[in-house]
Amino acid sequence: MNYTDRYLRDIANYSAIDVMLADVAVRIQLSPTDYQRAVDHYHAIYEWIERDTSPLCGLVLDFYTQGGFAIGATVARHATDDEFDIDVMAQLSCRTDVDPELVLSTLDEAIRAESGSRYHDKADRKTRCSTVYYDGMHLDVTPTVRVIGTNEKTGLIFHSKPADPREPKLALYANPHGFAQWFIQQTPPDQNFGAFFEKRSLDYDRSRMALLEKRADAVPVPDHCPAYHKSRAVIALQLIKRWRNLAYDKRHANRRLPPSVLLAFYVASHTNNTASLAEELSFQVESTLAIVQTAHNQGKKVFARNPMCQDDILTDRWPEDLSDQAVFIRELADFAAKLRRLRGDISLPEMQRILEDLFGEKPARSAVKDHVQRVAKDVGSAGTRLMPGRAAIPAAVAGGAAAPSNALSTPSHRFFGDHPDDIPKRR
Amino acid sequence: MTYRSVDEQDAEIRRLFPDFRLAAHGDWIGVWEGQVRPASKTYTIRIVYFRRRFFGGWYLSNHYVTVHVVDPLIGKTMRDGDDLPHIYWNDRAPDWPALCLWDPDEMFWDPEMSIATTIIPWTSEWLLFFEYWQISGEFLGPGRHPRRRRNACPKPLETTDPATRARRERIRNDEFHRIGRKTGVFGSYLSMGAALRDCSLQLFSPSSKDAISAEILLPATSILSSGLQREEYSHSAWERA
Repeated sequence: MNYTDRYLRDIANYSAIDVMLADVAVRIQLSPTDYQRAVDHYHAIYEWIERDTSPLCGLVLDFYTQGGFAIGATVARHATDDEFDIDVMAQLSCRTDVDPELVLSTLDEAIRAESGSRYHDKADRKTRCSTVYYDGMHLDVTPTVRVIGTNEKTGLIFHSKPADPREPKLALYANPHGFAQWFIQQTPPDQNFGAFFEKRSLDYDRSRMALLEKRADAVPVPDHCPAYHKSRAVIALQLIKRWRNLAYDKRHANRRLPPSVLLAFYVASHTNNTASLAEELSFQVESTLAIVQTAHNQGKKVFARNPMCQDDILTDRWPEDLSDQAVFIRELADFAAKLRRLRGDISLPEMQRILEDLFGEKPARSAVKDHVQRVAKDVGSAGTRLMPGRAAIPAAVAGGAAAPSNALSTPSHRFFGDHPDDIPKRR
Repeated sequence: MTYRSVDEQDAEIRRLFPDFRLAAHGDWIGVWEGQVRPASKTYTIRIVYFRRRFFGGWYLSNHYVTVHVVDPLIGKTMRDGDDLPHIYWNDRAPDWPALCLWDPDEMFWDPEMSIATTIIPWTSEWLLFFEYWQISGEFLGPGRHPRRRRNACPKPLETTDPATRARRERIRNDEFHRIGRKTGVFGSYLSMGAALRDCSLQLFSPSSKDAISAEILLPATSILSSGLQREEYSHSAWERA
């Protein structure tokens, strides 16, 4: 692939922490290969719900993605596995005053079907959706009924929990599609950063697939995957979601998570203010902290609504009370402090420790080691490229064939060592 | 290709690394200090360059170029029980090892080469691998690190011929004073080290703030004649002129 010198000069200026954060994001996101698998599952479940013998045959008017998958911000749920949530909406032909339980149970019946069928043992009924489990990911299918006379795709979603009769049955306004479109519009990718992140994602996926090449369902990784041409804001959101998942897993397992859609709303509301990924992430965390802290100081729960649907309340289930909010504030403040440290004069050991703490051991260690190995490969082969000034090793171009014209090329060499008296003398 | 003068090396260093400064300058010696930042941590390094190592019958046993990390002192960060690879051990000042940037079996750095395009970048690489070594105990940079020979001293050939010994003593004395006149420092090897500690050059101590004994300077720079043991250096012959 050919890159322009302008592009290479731009990415060569990315700091080490910018590249490490991007590489951590590459390792916690849905990979391009798994993204394609998710798309295949999405099509398959749609066809299944619409099959001739389905109770919803002919009643599915629209089927579309929502949530993290729709905005490219899907991340692994836990530190110990690579489980991804894929969210889809099934717009059904139905009256708006339908019994919520009827809609939810009919969808569940359509998915599970008879005993022995393809999804019968892989599906699970939830309060607002049905979940279908696959290897490494699950699809949450949420039924919706369109409300005529509102913005495109604004509709009702339903809430019902038959196992708990005290739980009220509800029909709630929602427009996740509109929210996703608004988010995408608010967070356009920077051309060079988008290209860099796409390449990094594909390179990592290739190295991962090389290890799995004997797997029956292994497929070649494409040269391009536009879905990975992401903005810094999206990467920042992914890192924030990952941090939240780990922090709540570790310290607040019994509390409800601050919802992803609320985090996405805050990120999209404060984008386009920074020039680097580390700066973007730091700014986003500080901005979110400021909003939640302000509400908390006034003794109020934070409140937000979908900009594309005023009746779609993003904070309807979180925070339940001020203690939820106080926990989030404490965690955010700690996150912000660690990010400030990461952006300072910091050694690789400390950087790795903080990255492990925030985003998990596995992706942090892999990202740091991968960078050092790339440089080692350069040192032993064609030589490294360094930036004049402080002899910084540009992490974004290390290990690659192309180098910017302003980088200093150094001859390859090998290190040695011992007591000087042991060195063969030459004259 | 001729050996690069200190001024020529300095010009190229300043062109590529403008913050480096020439801390000491002589006809055949240059000392630079400056900062490198391989990833996210900044290090101050000192480069000592000898354009010449041969002076009549004498030679400096040092390499043409030597690099130390001045701040932070990397020896202090060694992992317990692990020997930091790819350094020239300084047993008397373990915090102050010289970096081993090339394998003399494959190439030998000489003053035809540019410090700016080899030594400084290689130092930056070394420091990146050093940082990762602190995490994992692995030095991922390519190279080899022969087993350390602790407390092993070279045993140069001795001569018992009084005439030869006298001739070597005379040459050594003359050469030493010639070097002393160039650097402005005279004395015995030990007192020369002590004088250097206080002089403006500060070539071989980690920091001008740190007190450092002449003893620990010995491995950093040594002026040897071939075939003579260090013990043979006559303190009385090298007293201040």
